[in-house]
Amino acid sequence: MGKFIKYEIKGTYKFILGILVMLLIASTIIQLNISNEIKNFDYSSVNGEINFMRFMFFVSTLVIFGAAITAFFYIVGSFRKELYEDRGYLTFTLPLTGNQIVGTKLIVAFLWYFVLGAAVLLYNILLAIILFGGQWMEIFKDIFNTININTLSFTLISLLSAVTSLILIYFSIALSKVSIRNKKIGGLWFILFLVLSAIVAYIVSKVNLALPYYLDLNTFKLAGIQELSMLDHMSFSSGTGRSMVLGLGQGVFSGMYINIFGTLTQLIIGIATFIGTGYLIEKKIDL
Amino acid sequence: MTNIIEIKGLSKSYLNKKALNNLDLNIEKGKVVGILGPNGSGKTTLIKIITGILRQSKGEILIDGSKPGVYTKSIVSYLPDRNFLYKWMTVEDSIKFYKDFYKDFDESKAYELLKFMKLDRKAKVESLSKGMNEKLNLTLVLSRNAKIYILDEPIAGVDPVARDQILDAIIKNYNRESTMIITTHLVRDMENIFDDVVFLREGVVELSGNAEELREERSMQIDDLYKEIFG
Amino acid sequence: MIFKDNLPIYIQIMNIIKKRIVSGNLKEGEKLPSVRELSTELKVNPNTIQRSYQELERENLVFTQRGMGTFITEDKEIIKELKRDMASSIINNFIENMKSLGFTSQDIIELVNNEVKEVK
Repeated sequence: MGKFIKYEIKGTYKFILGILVMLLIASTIIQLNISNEIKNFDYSSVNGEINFMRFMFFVSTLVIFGAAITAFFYIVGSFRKELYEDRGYLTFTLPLTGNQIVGTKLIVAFLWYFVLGAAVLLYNILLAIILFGGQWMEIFKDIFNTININTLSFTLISLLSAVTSLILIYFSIALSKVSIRNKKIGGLWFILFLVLSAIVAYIVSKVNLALPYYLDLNTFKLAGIQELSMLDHMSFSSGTGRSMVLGLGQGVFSGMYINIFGTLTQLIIGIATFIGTGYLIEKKIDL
Repeated sequence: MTNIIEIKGLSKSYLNKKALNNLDLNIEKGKVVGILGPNGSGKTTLIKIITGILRQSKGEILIDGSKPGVYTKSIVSYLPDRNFLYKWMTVEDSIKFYKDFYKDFDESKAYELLKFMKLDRKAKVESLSKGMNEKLNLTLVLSRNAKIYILDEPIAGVDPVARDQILDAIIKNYNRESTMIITTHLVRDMENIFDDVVFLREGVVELSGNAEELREERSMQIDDLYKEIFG
Repeated sequence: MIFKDNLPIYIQIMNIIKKRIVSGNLKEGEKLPSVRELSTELKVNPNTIQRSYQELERENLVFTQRGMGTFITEDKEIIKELKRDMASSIINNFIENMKSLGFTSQDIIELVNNEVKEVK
């Protein structure tokens, strides 16, 4: 399987590298513009300056979002190609299990997201230090200081839901190929994915409501929903399917709570769809 | 003689037709077997089931005693009837790829065959002509010391020189320890390398047997027999 | 190589080797190409070549030395007999064809005599 990961990387790195280069160029242009604007800050037209900053923020968001979407479709496409193009004749006659093939696709996808994210972040920090000097170090220090059990678990839970979504996508692609042979209906997998996502979200939210036991991440104590007494200050509704609750006592951040069973359900669904995808492409494949 | 492949009551149906219809077939170890039939006779469907990229609707298939899966994929060397290599690969990449995934791959044999086929190591797979591609694919497939080789239409659509080279390579690399299954509709060009032949028509075995015995019994070459059956 | 006769290929290969022996292309005691060599040359399954050699050995036209290969017999009598056999089979065939066209034995001898003179 390690070897398959190696070849998967070999086959995709050029495209990802392209995205990375675009991102770095875009960050450079944006930061240069901002630094110029700050140097020539015109106090007589503060509104204009603020609008400019807003515009730059908008552009950055657009660039990052665009890159993420492009990388996403490329990664999804690389799985789709195995099932719809001639390369599948090579991939699916390798002595590998279905789980190994799906696992490889998943690992490489996240590897690329990690590489893209880390490279862009580091580059921007470096650029900011060069362009804006020492005071920016302070800001980064502040950011690093906010890293604690809460933000880490938040990241972890978000990652879990991202992984589950990607597996669900693979599952939808495999299912649409197996059920309708040789008919390349472009959007079928996407519709399947939306339907399945909705079902998963529904199940998780039902579990969240039926078993409202939360883990307080600051004390690592279990808490029932009534103890949290936060029906009026939940910022993340458990109805969205995300099993995390932010406690905001009187508008002040008071901690994070994770619904144990909701998270567990999410995890189980993730594993089940992973195995399901592996099963479909190993046992039900129809090239 | 031991059977390396045993097929019992194999059927594959699609929405509107049956590609294989209750097919029984045993393939003996050490034989070169020709599977003959016109387009749509079920040749490719049968081969896809043996190689594990298609599932039967009914029936049973055992390859070296196992159902198609990871083990059978490790002992079957398969030449599909299409360009199955990844597009980003060079000739050399494809050889390394095979070496990495198949324990039975003989790298030095591969480079020897590459020379025989006059293929450039550095060439991109995507830039090869149809004949060159077929030669590269065959090089990879024959460089494995596999128990079973499956060649789907190995000489279809290539020029006569390449055809001779391909036939040469197949004969040179055949050994009595392994079994070769070859599908073709170019019977005249290939019939001399078959031990046994199987005629497929509409998903069932119309006739099968030892090629020489059939020539003796019917006093005609297999190509003429093919024309008689399907003509 | 394309085999056209309505005979099994191993018999056609035997006939090719027999012709080479009779014509003197293959001398007595000479080594035959290995099974693999001949199978590549003729593009024929090695098992078929093997069978041809076995049948030739049964007819005492060749013999096998373990690890050395297959050789043409050194027995001149056997080769002479092969020559006679092949000659008579060709002649018989010819006579049969001529007779079916209505020639008498006398006609045939005369015609052959004239043709042989001209060829000289």
